[in-house]
Amino acid sequence: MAQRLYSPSRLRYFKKLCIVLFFFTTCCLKAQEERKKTQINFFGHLEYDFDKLSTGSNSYFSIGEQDFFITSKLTDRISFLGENVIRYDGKSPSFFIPSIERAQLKFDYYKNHSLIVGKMHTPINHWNDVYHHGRLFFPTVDRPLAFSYLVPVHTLGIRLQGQNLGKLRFGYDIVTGNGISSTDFSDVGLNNSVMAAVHFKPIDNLRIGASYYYDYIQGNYSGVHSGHSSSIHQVALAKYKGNVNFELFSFSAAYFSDKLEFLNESCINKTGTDTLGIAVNMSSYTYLGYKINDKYTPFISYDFIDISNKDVHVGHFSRNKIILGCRYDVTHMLNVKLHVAKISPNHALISSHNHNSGPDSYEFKIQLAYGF
Amino acid sequence: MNLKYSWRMGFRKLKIIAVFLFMLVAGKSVFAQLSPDLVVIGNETGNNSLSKKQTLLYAKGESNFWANGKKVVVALPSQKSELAPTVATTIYKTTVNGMQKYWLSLVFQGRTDPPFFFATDEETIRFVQNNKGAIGFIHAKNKSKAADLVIEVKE
Repeated sequence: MAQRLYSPSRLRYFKKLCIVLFFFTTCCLKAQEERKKTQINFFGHLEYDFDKLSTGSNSYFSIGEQDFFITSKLTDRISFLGENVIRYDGKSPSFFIPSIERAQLKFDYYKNHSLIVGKMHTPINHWNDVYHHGRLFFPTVDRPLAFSYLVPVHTLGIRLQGQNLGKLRFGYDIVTGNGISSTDFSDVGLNNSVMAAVHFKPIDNLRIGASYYYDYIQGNYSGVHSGHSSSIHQVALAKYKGNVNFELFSFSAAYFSDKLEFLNESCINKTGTDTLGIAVNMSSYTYLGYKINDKYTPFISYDFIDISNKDVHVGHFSRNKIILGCRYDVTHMLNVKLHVAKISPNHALISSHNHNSGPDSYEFKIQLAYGF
Repeated sequence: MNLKYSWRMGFRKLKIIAVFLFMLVAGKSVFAQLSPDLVVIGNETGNNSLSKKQTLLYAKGESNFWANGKKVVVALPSQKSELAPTVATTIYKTTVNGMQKYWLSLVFQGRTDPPFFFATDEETIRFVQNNKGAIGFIHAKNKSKAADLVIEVKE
């Protein structure tokens, strides 16, 4: 029996097997040591809301955007970034829909200069360029109000990008792509939206930027590249069906150090038609946070938006929001934020614009944001 | 008498200023080093030495290519590594969590490629050896294990 087990042919077979296994294991280890080409991340958030305290309270939990994020290196100079989100949509039978938020190919053609094609976030203001869907990176629970009404958050097109150039770490973005009235599949007109953004970082943790966006909105229609959430519904209700010239000037200053956090972003929006003239809309958002330690960051923010009574795109309204809250960073992959907010019509502007006055509203929110 | 007194006072002031300037210059040269515990290693970066400013630029993902055209690949200590707090405070001026979030945010913005995290110096050395354009950080006590990869950091 022993003779059969250790026969020369069997020993030769085991020897060959050992060599193959050794070779295979070495190759596997080598492959592990070499850089991985594709990385998958996941971001999302859960929320508890207690709101509309003055008009009939609501108390509910909600699942926020669930974000599948993938990056892949195709060559040393070409990379892919994809972001697919499953999010709430009241029109869907299941109330949730998948959405392609980003699908972009980036070609680093010279040093820190790149060419990007695909669906991307517009480089308008700090929030849209840096955080967008990443609630984990938000300093507060909610986005600024301008996100829902004024800022066209996406585009599908071509972008020239430069970053960290020179001593001031200058950056630029020049973009042309599908405009506000378009979808990810088509556009109704010949014209594309154009935008240009610049920023610089003179010292660590400080970024100052400005941008300009122009679009000629066909039929005053709002497609998938407009502001998030309510603007689409608001615009759908708009009675004016003519074309609209849309211009947006933006400015942002962000300082996020180990102790102090500050962000201001302001927009001036001009919408114009041949018959009704020009409407000037404004928004401004200011955030101030102070890190007590590695974990706790209490914050205060003030958000205000004023849409002129001449505006035919979003529709006349005005609102301000004062927020008091705290962020607790559990790890770099998880944080909990809570806030109390007072939302009110902008009484300061009522006399000049004859805005509709309404009762103040209060809300309390807790948000659990994660990413890994 | 008064003139002599004022000369003496002036000389004393000069001495104080000279000592102060010396301390400032000496202090600056000490701060020029990243950290005595830290050694920078790289593979085919086209540099045997880097300035502190350049090192930070590459390590923070602010410059994507080396002067020789090779893509910058950053290797960092993971949370399990003993070196992680030193790298986080020295390079990123933050905590280990802060360093990890810094990179997560940068990758999310689509501004640079993600770095690679390793638990031990041996893993970091092996990775840098196998990847052209890679830059990594190891503990000074293991400098001899990567003698051919060491990049000197100068003022």
